[in-house]
Amino acid sequence: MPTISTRITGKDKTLIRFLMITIQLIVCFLLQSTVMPAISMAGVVPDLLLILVITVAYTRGRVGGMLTGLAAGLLTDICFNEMVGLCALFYLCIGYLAGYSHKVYEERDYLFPMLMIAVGEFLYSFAYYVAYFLLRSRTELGYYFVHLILPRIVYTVLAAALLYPAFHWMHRFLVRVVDKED
Amino acid sequence: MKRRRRRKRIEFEFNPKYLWIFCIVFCAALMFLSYRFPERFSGVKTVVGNVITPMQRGINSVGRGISNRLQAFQSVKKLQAENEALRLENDGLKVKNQQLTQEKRELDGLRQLYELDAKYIDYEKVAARIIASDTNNWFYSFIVDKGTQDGIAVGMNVLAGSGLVGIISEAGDNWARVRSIIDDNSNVSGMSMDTQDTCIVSGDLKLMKEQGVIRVEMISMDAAFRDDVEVVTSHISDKYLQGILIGYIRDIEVDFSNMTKTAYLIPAVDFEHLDEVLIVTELKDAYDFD
Repeated sequence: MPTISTRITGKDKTLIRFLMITIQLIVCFLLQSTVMPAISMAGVVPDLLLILVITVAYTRGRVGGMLTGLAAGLLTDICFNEMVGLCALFYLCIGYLAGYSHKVYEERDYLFPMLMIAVGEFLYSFAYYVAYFLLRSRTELGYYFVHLILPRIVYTVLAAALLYPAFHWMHRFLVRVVDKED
Repeated sequence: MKRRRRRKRIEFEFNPKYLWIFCIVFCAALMFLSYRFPERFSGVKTVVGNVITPMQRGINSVGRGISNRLQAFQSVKKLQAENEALRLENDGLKVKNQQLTQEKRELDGLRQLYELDAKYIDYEKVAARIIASDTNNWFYSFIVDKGTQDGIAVGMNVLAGSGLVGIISEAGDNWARVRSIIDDNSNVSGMSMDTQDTCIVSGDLKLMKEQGVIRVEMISMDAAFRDDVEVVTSHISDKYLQGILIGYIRDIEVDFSNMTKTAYLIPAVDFEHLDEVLIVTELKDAYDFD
């Protein structure tokens, strides 16, 4: 048994996780707003923030998912939108709902998170379309689905195939280093 | 210590649902407040922007360095041919410039004679680099690396080359957000260069993606618009300085209502390959009262 002085307390664990996720969040946001437009396909960029939100929700549960979602959404809103809170609301709900999947979390399952990312991206894009386009009577949903939502889902899942293992590795690393004394 | 830990744990494991509902209410409140009092939020936005922008700038400069390296590998032959072509063009332009300068001098003289104000003032401009673009694909706005410290303010017009790019919609200390004219939310009052008939140029995501054009509306039935007419910002716009090139008219049609015509407009600026922009540090209001 380690002595009291070397133990990592519950408070510290929360803090370390919080810091790690914050760093990942900021890196994702920076990449998405600077590098990704340069390598966009069919005029869309992958949604790295959503990948992070779903990963956290899947590995940590509802609370982690929704708080990450809220932070990701607020960052997007504050930097790019006039109205603050809408993207945050979307990411928040997606993170919360995806958090239910934590109950079936399986370390080696890579297919299920991909599926969730696809569904999550669809929900996000669709909600965004309804809020910002349908309500301004841009009604051609079919067109927007084929030319924006679908490519974005595909590209996001492709990016997730690379990123999810990275995020997941980070999560396992934290669990190994931080949580082992539980 | 022990007790505190226990309490915290209960709080965290007990009620995700209530936390969720609380966050939803929080977002809704933010939405309402930011919509109702946008000026209150500009402080927060500025602070966040001031933190994020330097990082974006850093990543961008690294990226630009790499792409410059890659470009250096381009064949020398191609560059030589391009150089040759540019040199020829430059010679032609020099001659033309000479003529125009002479004509301008003459015009200035005549204007002075008539005591007319110069119609198109040489606007003061600041060059800025695009360092980040919108993370959603639904709108076309981007962030540039100049802000209020460089004299940028909300409402200033943004150009690239000779065409209109958009308008500053938000400004922080060292960054500013530009809403472009192809953004789905954008409306610009324009007029035809030769006949001064007015129209409204509105951004349209679908048209832009499909054909690289945006929409022109409210052209009056007796306006003498033709294909390929140059559309510039109009004298009645309260945001855009007069006489900046927006683009070229295409495919004029009579509207459903039979009262107005609509058309498409090919923007003068190539939005796909936009890297640097020029910001006119002069506001339309000030211009009006001059």
